[in-house]
This record gives sequence, structure tokens and C-alpha cells, in this order.
Amino acid sequence: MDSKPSSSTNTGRYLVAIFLALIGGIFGVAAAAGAPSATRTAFIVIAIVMIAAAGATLGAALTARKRS
Amino acid sequence: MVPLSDRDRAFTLTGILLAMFLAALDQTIVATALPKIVADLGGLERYAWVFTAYLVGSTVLVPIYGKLADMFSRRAIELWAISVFLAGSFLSGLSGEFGELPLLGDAMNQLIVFRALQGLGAAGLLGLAFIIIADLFPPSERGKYQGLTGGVFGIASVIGPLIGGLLTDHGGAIIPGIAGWRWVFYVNLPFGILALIFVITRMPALLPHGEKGRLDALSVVLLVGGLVPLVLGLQLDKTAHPWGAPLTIALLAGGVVLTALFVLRSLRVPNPVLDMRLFSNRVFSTSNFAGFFVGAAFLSIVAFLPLFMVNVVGVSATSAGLSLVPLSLGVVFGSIVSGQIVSRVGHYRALLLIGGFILLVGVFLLSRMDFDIPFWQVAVYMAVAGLGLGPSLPLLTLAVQNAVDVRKVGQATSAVQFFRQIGGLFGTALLGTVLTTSLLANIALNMPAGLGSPPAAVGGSAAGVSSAGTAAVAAQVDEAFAARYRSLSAAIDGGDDAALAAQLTAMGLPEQARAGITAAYERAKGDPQATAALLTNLKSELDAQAQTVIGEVTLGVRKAFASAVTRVYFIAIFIVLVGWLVTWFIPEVPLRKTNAQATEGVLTGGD
Repeated sequence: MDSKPSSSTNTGRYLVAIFLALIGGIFGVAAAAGAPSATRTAFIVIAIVMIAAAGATLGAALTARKRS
Repeated sequence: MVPLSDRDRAFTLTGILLAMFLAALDQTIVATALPKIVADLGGLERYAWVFTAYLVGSTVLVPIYGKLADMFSRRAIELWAISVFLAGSFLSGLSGEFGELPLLGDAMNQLIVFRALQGLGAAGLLGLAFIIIADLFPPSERGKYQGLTGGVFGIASVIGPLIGGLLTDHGGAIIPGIAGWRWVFYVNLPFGILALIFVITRMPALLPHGEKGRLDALSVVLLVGGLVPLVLGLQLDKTAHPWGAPLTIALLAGGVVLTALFVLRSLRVPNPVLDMRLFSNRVFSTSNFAGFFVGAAFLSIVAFLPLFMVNVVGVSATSAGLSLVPLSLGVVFGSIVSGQIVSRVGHYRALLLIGGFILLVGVFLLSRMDFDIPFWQVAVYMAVAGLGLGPSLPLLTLAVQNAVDVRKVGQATSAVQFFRQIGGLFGTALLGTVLTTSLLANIALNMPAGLGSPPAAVGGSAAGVSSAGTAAVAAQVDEAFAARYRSLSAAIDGGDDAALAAQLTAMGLPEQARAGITAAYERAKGDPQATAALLTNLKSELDAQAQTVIGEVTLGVRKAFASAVTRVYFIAIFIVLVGWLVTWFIPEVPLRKTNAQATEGVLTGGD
């Protein structure tokens, strides 16, 4: 529990990135398995946004790791 | 470990399990009582808030109760939670008895507010049961008692609708003059008071292990401010407010932003609601990830199976709750047996993986169900899924409690509970949308040829069919044919040639059939006996046609429901698979033999 705040913040970034990617993946699967509809389009958009956010968070985590 | 006699420990355990049972029961017990509640209180357009208010209260406050349990006497927090829950139950039962009230408004508004109060108490009862067990038993023995807790939670979640239906239908006989639905809330009082007595007389104070300081008020505000819109955004009726609707986006985005601010604040203050450093502990982070996805699978199975049972297998709406007993038995058996095994062997990871695999098989089987599947086969499939779900309920909590600093057991345990509940909300919101869109597409595909769009032809819409189900569709078809007969009969009795011709055209009959009926009508004109015989013939012909169409339409609706529900379970396979893959990353930490402070190596989970 005495780990440095910066280290735990970076661990958090990795976790958030993984979580967003997983949720984005599930929205993607739901879109792929769903019937064509406005909902399907919304799911695809959400999946893309989630995965892009996951990528950005992962990028931030890797940059922070390089700096440290 | 708390020095406590076995007898006191047993009473304490009974008290907290009883309270937890009531809180879990109230998540689903109102479902079957709502039609009567709405008939009595009015406010149909607000009825969904009766669920939502409870859900918001019982989800949002879970982390805060966990933190309070780390700071103050756990007995005091438990007593507070039971008291709030009982007050909410009593007031919910009283809703509308005194007419409109100042500030609260009409009866339905009163019920919504009191259900929220009930939820604020329930949040404590759901999390504190796991936390108090952690105080009563060391990790090496705790599994079998956490197994009981998982079993109680599993039973309560599934049998709620059944008990709700029984009390609504027969509760009126308990005390004349008090409507049956009010007992759905009053039933909590005797059992809750019993739990209160056990806790007051038998439970030790269970003072905190040293988590001191003042709770950061701003992080509480940010947490509640973030979670309320997040839960509301997930809970919104997605047919009225789709995922892309401005209100849904605003609620979800607002919730995410405030929750992110809560996380940032928690990283900077000494005494936040949830210590973010806990996420550096791999057991804690991976168990919560897995719990999120298992929670999504659990609530989805519980939410969508009754639809399948009623609309495809053909059980009645009132016995739909009873038909989930195999699932409930599977959960209870899986939870209790896995708890017993882990207490003997001292390892939880293998059991979690086995449970996850069984759940994967169970959900796969559920995704393969066809429209003509017999009840016994669905029962076997749901029992398999329940057996797989069972171990996750107690063992994820046990793994986390074993791995974190004992000073933070409260917040760590409530985090597991919280992630499971949020996962459940996410799963039902996502899969509920998939169900609705699939159903609409499949109903159009599965209607009998020649009827065009039969739901519209029988006076309803595809959306109406999806919510009404097979029985209502059959009734609609029957009524449509009865209406046709009434129109024909009026035209023939009145000798109105033009009206008869218009009716026959509207019915879409082939030219030959129309000509036959018109000829018979011309022959019977002026002869009452012949007219009566013609009408009798037409009636029996239309009845036969109605039966044929009902058969075809209900078969189409059954096929549509089967296809939509199995599609939902197909997606659930991926959710379970993700949860199972995450479970592989949960480190195995030897179960501690005492409740003494964990070592630093354990706290960081080998990170």
C-alpha cells in the first residue's frame, strides 16, 4: 500500500485502457451480432469511441512509463 | 478474529444474512406487484421509477457504506442500514394511505421517494454482510460462510417475483382492508426487526482496524454526483431514449466526467471514499474486473430467461418466477459447495476458473435454445449456468478480502459488490437493447405469409407485440376476427350490399370466396332462416380461420422471441469469456489463517 502515487496512477491508466478496450469490444460484438438498425450504428460508434479512448489512455500510460 | 461464542456468531450471521436476503429480495419483488400498485395508486407513466429509485439508492451508496464500515463500528453501520431499510419499507407500504402529502405529492411520488429511502438502507445491507463475515471468520474459514451469503443472494434475486406475486394475490387476506401489494413492503418488517434484534443482542461492536481521519466530503459529492446519472443513463428505457439520444448521452457523459473527477480527487486526498492505491493490488483489480463481467452475465440471465419461459416455452406469467428455480438451485449449490471446498483446500483461483468455464458452457447452451425446446432442457441449461455463477459470488469477495490491508476490508469488499452491480446494470442495458432490436426484426421475418404485417393487421404494432408477448397477440387476433364477424353480420342483417362488398374486400379474401359469400347472401335475402344459417356458417368459418392465424402468428412470435433471446445469450458468451479470461490473471494468494494485519507482499498482490 506504500507504492508511490505516480506508479499507482500509471497502473490506473493501464487498467482504464484495458477496461475501455474490453467494453468497446463487447459493444463491437453486440453490433456485429445485432440486426441492422439505428441501435447497431450507435453501438459501432460507441465501440470506436471506447477503443480510441483505450488507445489514448494506453499511449498516455506508455509515455509516462518512458518518462519515469 | 473477534472473540465470540459460536452461538453469538451463529445469531449474528443469521441476522446479517436475513437483512441481506430482504435487501436482495426487494430488487425484484415489486415486479409482479406493479400492475396492482399502478391500478391502486395511478401514475402509470412514472411506474418504472419504483424500480429505478431503489436501484439508484442501493448501488450508489455501496462504496460509501464500505468506507464508513472501515471508519466506525460495523454494528452501528449495520443497525443504521437496517433501520433505514425498514423505515423505507414501512413508508413504501403506507404510500397513498393519507392522500397527497406536502412536498411528496401524490401516492406514486410518495412510493418512489420511499423506495429510494429503502434503497439507501439496502446498499448497506448488501455490502455489510460480506464485510461483517470478514470480521467474524479468518480467510481460511471464511469461504464456507461467504458461500452461504452467495447462496442467499442468489435465492433472493430469483424468487423475488414469485413472492411478490403471492403476496399481491393473497396478501389482502392477512389483514382485511390492507391491499395485498402493500405486504410486498410490510413483509420486510417482522423479518427486519428479527434481524435487528439479533444484531443488537448478539453482534459485537466490531470496531475499525485503524482507518482514521475525516471522510473527504468532496469525493462523496463527486461519487454520488457521478454515479446517479450513470445509473440513470443505463436504466433509461432504451426504446424511448436510445443510446444515441441526447438525454442518454448527457447522463452517461456527465456521469463519466464526474466519476473521473472523483478518481482524480481520490488520488490527491488522504482519506477518500475508495483508496485508489487498492487498484495497484492485482488481486483487487482483476477480481473487480471479473466481478463486473460476471455481474453483467448474472443479471442478464435472470432478466431475460423469464421472457423466454413465458413467450417460447409457454409457462404462465405468474409461474415464470417459479420456472427459474433450477437457476436458483444451481447458484445456491455452486456458491455453498465452492465455499466449503475453498475452506478445505485453501485455494480459490482454480475454483473460480472451473466456475467460469461451467458458466461459459451454460451460457453457450442457453444460446443454442430453439423455439420448440422442452421445459426440462431449459431447466438443465439454466442449472448449469447457475452452477457456474455460484462460485464467483463468494470467491471473488474472499480473494479480495484476503489480499488487502485489513484496515481497508470494508471499502475493498464494497468495491467488489459495487462493480458487480454496475456490471449487472451495464449488461442488462446493453443486452436489453439487443433483445428489443432483434425482436422487432425477427417478428417481421417470422409472421405467416400472406398476412403482410400481421401485428399491424391485428391492430397492434411490432413494438407492441414485443412487449405484449404471445398470449396478448393471440387475444388481438381473436378480437380482430370477432370484429370482422360483427361487421359482416351487421351488413348482412341490414341488407347493406355496399357495406358487405367493402367488408369482403377489406378481409382480403380471394375473388372466388368473395363471389361464393355474395351469392349465398343474395340467395338468403329476405329469408330469416337462410340468413341465420349463412351467419352461422360464416361464424364457424371465421373461427376456424382465426384459430389457424393464431397458430401461425403465435408460432411466429415464439420463433422471434427464441431467436432474439438466444442472440442475447450469444453476446453474453463474449461477456462471460472476457470475465473468464480476466480470472486467469487473478493471482493465487494463500488464505490467511487469522484476521491479523496482512503482510506487505500480500497487500500488493505480487504486483
